Amino acid sequence: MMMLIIFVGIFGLITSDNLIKKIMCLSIIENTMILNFIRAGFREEAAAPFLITPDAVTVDPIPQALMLTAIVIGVCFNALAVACIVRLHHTTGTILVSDIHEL
Amino acid sequence: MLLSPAALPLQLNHLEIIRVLWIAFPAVPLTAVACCMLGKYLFRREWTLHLIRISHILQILAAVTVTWLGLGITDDHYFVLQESPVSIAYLFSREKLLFLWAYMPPLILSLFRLKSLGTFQMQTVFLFYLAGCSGLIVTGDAFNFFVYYELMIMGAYVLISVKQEYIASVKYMVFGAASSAMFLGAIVLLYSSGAYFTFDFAHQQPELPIYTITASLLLFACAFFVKGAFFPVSGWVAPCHSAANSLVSAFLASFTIFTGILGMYYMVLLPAEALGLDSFFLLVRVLSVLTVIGGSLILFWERSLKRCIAASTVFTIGLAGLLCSYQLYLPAMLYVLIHSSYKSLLFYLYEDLESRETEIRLHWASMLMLISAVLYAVGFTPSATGQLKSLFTADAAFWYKVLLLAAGGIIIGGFAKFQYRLSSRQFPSAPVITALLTAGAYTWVLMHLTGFSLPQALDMLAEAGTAVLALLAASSLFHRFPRLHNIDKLTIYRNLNQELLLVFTVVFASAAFLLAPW
Repeated sequence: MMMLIIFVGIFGLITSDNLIKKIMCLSIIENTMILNFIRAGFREEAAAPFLITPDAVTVDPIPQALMLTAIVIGVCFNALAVACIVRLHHTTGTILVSDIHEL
Repeated sequence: MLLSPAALPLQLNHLEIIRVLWIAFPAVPLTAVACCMLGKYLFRREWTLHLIRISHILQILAAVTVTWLGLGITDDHYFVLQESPVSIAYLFSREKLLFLWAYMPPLILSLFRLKSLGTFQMQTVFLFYLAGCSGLIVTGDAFNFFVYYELMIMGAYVLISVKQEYIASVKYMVFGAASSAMFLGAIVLLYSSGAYFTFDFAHQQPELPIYTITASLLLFACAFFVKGAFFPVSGWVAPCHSAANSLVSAFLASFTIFTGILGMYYMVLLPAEALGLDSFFLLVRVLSVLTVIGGSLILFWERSLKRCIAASTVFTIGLAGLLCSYQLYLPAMLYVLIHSSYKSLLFYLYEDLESRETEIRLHWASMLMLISAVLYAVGFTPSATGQLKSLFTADAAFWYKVLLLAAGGIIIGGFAKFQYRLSSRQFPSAPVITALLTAGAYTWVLMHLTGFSLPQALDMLAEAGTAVLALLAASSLFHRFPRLHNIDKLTIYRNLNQELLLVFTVVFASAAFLLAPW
């Protein structure tokens, strides 16, 4: 399933003409990676790793901690990308790859 | 004796001092950012330029101290922040020292052009960018590398647009994000295989599941093929690196792109060597050969001198990759180190020229520097890079010599296609003179480390003949057919979707290559 979502992202990234759609496809790929990492730390019938007793079985907290950083980076990238595309629209009047020959 | 670290007045532990300076290194520009914000929004004062200068000076002093104390240390040392297998780890090693000094030329030269950054926002972003660069030098684990890389590259996206070149910025962004997604995928697979994130994970855990770790290394390799601009995914280098001003271009074309080689070394080649996955070396070798020849061909058709300067980095990446694939790591790192000095020189030199389409007016001293830097770029005698190249070609197959000679000739031809006119007006500016001194100092150090010896007379003759032939052929070809100057405007050569398709083709082709029974 994860591979399928990644392939959907890659397909959209390669074929879409609209830069905003490209950024959305990149987000799909990146968020699938993040989901996959969190899944790697999952354990059946284990508790969330906070407010627990010392002998409680918890899921692996490391992927969650690391992916929180990756999510923040992803959000920053999206904000920056959209801001740049808006500026690009102001200067060229389009956000379509086929209309911007220098891209 | 007085300059020896052993002569320190107190019996301080050198490694402890290095540890403190190493961990504090990326914190210097970040602290400067915090002070800039405080000054601007709390005290209503503009301290940014002064703080950048202070940050630069502190980093230069830290680099000198760490090098002075660490020269005698030959082993790799990990400094962990917590005693946990997944703690943030910093690494001090001989190779890291070389990357530290590859960061210095653009850093020192940027002191001359800080005002070209313009606004307070750009200056602050520049500090964030420096924090990312500094973090990449000191980091010792894969996830930390990812975080610092993102910090650096996001700063670069903004800095490229300092001259309102949003097309270049968006292009750089799309390629950067695609490679970062691959990098993240590699980290997921690395964690799934049960490996630690520190760069020596393969040495510590040689019994890792082979399929998962191979897939992880493959994704790391593909991410660094894009980040390091290996051919055929190097089409973004010339437009993106040439779009910014010289200060930013010098950083992008010297340090930033070489983090691809740094990552390739620590996260692909060293683990592959430890796990006995020799096919990775073959993969890097094949792509490096393609990069050497493809990179030079792309440069040959570039329409402006600045784009040619930017595109010449691809050839250097190919050569460094080739050296790495033959496990000649130290020559590869030295190549990277010296490249950062002459590439910075070239970008600052470009500001001293009068460039009108294909005609370039420059001072004779600038012309001499340009010729020297191009010889350094292609590694022809008497350049110091030729010395490094000969370490490889002395034992390599004959066709490697022919390949490097042909690629060098094409690059010289690419630079020779412009019409140069000597002018006595623009004497080289202060940053160019400083860049020249830095390049000279680096050459001296390189000669000291490798020992100077002239290549064989036949090789020198072949290089001189190739250079003359390339000069004559390219200038007459472009003079007779001026329309050739516009060949890189063809749509097929510049299309984002096709270039992205190439990125994923490289991923699948590399996977198929690794699965093939070599």
